Amino acid sequence: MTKRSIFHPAGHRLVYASANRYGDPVKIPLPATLTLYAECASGDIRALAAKPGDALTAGQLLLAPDENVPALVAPAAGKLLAVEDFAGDFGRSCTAFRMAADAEGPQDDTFARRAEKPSLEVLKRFLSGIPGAPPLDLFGDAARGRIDTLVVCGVDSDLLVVTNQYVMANRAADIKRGVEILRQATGVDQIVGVVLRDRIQGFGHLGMELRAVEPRHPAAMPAKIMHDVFGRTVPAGSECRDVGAAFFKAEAVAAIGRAFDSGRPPASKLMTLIDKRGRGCLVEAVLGTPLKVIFEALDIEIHDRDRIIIGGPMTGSAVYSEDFPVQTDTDAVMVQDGADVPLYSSYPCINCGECVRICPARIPVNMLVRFLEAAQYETAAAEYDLYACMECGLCSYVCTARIPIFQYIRLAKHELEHMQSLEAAHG
Amino acid sequence: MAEQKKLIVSHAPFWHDGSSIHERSYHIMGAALLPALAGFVLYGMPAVGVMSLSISFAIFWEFAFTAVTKRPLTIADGNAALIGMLFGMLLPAATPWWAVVTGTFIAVIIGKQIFGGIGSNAFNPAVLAVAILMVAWKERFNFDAAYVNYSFGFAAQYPLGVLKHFGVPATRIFHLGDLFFGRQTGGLGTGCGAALVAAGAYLIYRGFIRWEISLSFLAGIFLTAQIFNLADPVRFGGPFFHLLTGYTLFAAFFLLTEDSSSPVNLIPMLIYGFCGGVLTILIRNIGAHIDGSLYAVLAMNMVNPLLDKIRPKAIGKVL
Amino acid sequence: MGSPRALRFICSLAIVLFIVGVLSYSAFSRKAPDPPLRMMFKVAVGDVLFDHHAHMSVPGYGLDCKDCHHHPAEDDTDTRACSECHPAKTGKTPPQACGDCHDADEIEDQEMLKTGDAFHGQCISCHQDFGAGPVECSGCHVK
Repeated sequence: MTKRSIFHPAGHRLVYASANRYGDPVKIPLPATLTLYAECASGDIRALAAKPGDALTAGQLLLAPDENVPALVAPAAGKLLAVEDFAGDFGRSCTAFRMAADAEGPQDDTFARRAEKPSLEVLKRFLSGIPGAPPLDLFGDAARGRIDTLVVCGVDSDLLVVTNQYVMANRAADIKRGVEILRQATGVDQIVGVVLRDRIQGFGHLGMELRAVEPRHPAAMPAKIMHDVFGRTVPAGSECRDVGAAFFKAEAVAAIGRAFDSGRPPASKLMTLIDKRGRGCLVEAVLGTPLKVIFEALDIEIHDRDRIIIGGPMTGSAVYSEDFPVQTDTDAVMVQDGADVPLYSSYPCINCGECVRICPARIPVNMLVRFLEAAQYETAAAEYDLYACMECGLCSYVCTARIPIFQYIRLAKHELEHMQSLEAAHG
Repeated sequence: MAEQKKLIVSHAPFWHDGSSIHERSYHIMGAALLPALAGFVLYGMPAVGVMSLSISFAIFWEFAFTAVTKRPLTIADGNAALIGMLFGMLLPAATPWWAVVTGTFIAVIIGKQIFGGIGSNAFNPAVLAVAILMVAWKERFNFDAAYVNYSFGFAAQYPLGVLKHFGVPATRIFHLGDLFFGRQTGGLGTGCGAALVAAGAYLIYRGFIRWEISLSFLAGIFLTAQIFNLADPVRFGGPFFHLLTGYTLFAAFFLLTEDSSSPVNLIPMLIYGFCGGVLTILIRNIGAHIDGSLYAVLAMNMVNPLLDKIRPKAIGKVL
Repeated sequence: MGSPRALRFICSLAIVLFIVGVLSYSAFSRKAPDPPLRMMFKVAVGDVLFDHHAHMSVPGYGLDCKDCHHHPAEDDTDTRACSECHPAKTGKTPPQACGDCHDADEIEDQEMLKTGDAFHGQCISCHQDFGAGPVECSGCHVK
């Protein structure tokens, strides 16, 4: 919870952190076991490339990419221990791969042999599961619509998180190489980097045009960047790709550059770790490292009733276990003390209007929430702009009655999606 | 598997700006204490008595209602206390105890709880209660009669009554400076313009009330009063006289701005405030009542849901 | 919002203010001062606010009690109101004949004045004599 100061009544805490204050990343040694998640049920996996008990080489493909899942690559050599089903957010079926890691093990050279000439096919097959999770599935598929702009995000879309800011500022050579490769492989001409306005000076030549975003949440969220920086409004219910833009995190672009230079897909993920006092530091850990290992290395104690959050304070998601692993899109890990956890209330909307004034999408949140509370999701979508929400979390942040508005919105979208899929299934 | 820690899992965001309903209630009450103190100084202990009884009974009625209807106990949010305080400030200091008890019942139960509690009341509960009492016991709200036994160091007639009955020349006994510093009779907490403006400025600065509503209301009062005054300077009082007398300033900063019965969008807020000001002066100048501000507040509360339909188009809205 | 601390606070607030309110009402209830400051005459055509203090005090008009209160003539301190002898529709028995109170030589007219006429006569004649104070209806009566 934050307290408003009398001299800064209007949420001065909503300014993005600057990577300048952060030191070099702390490197976490390779742990004994790694866990990798794939967002599909194990039964649906068509091309399971290894069985439990198999020895793995570093960089070996565990799961070939298809239209639904990115490639899953063994981040280190070792042995595959188990492939298990589990339920993810909103009950989605997921598969966990547990493997024993061996730092001395052999390196797979399939990618190195095919990395002579960067092509979309090579990128998709080997690099869709690298740190930064590049959305390579947006390219080369006519049905998905044409992408004409590739945005390299040197900003992070949540407060206190500086991962991509740091990469943009400190890995210029990798980014430049990555931009070249992407230009060649995807054929997209317009490649634009976005960075925070107060830091736009001082970037060297990155092989792309740079544009600035305001350093205040939610200016660095993709839909907001499209609106403010590119003057393209993402229609309600659509995504950035529907207006021709693909968002790549700076870390993903740097990882692509590094992969082709070194001949092996990078497996180290950079993260901003935010401790219980709200201080951040950068850590680098191999994909699949359980969070517990990172907390132990940095002497962060976790107690009962604390909260572990993947992502930042506004849009992250809380996890229930310290065993949760580092994934390709884990840009931040935040730890919150049990005493600091703000509680939601069961109060109704008191119509103070704070949410309406802070909403970046100009949604009538005070009306919307009344329909969401009553589970009138269709009216909410049809008349009160449910789908215009870009999910920045600000309405819940300022809610005087402490209604979990953001949660209601996510729930409403999920329920509507569920209803539509049921209707589609039963005609 | 090793022993698992029990972590708290909830939905984003994980921060909150620290605002809450009870913070809001207590800040508004704290700000209202300043004009109330001016009333205590002027009227003495009877004013303290009306105010204390009003707050405690408002809390009691809310407690009783939630207990009888088996709803969650809501008195801790301070909203009932706030309603009681605002209701008390509107009353003459000489109000009998039974009128305070009845009035708080009307405010909390009829004004707020039967609509569904906080956030659902269509009208400002305190204003609704005073309006009903004014109809029921008209003579209790005749400030001249209420204060016959009080000796002040200034003209003890109710300024708006003097204006209404005897015209502008008779109001020369009042000086604008005196009126601003609370040397006038009226509701026990609504007379001191200086204290009301200070309290309003604080609430606006902290964001507890909206300047759009307060200032447009005052603008509506000023412009309409000015037009009437130009048309007939003997019958209709000047704009500053209207700003400083009756419930004008109290309505601007404490009544119209009540969350649930006021709009949240910019243009509706401006219309709501401005029309409230226009209506107030119309009722005062050509209506039957001496002070129209309470009826103006109720009338604007009524059109509020309609007004708030004027809102900006959401970004990305597909028509 | 339902934290025990907030609940304790609001309960103590209600109890303390209840006690303060009851005490203020019982200990500080304002008695009508004697002589009165201002009086509100309830009249069907419009109430009249009479500023008693302004008429009798020295920075005001400085009138003597007997200028208005005329009965009984001998006693300066006895300034009973007209209604004490002429109760209007109350339980009290009115005097049966003029002679019950008045001497024969005091009475010019056998007809008893109405209250309204008595007040009108007293206020308006004095206002006219001194050229001060309202004489038309709307100058005193307000609806």
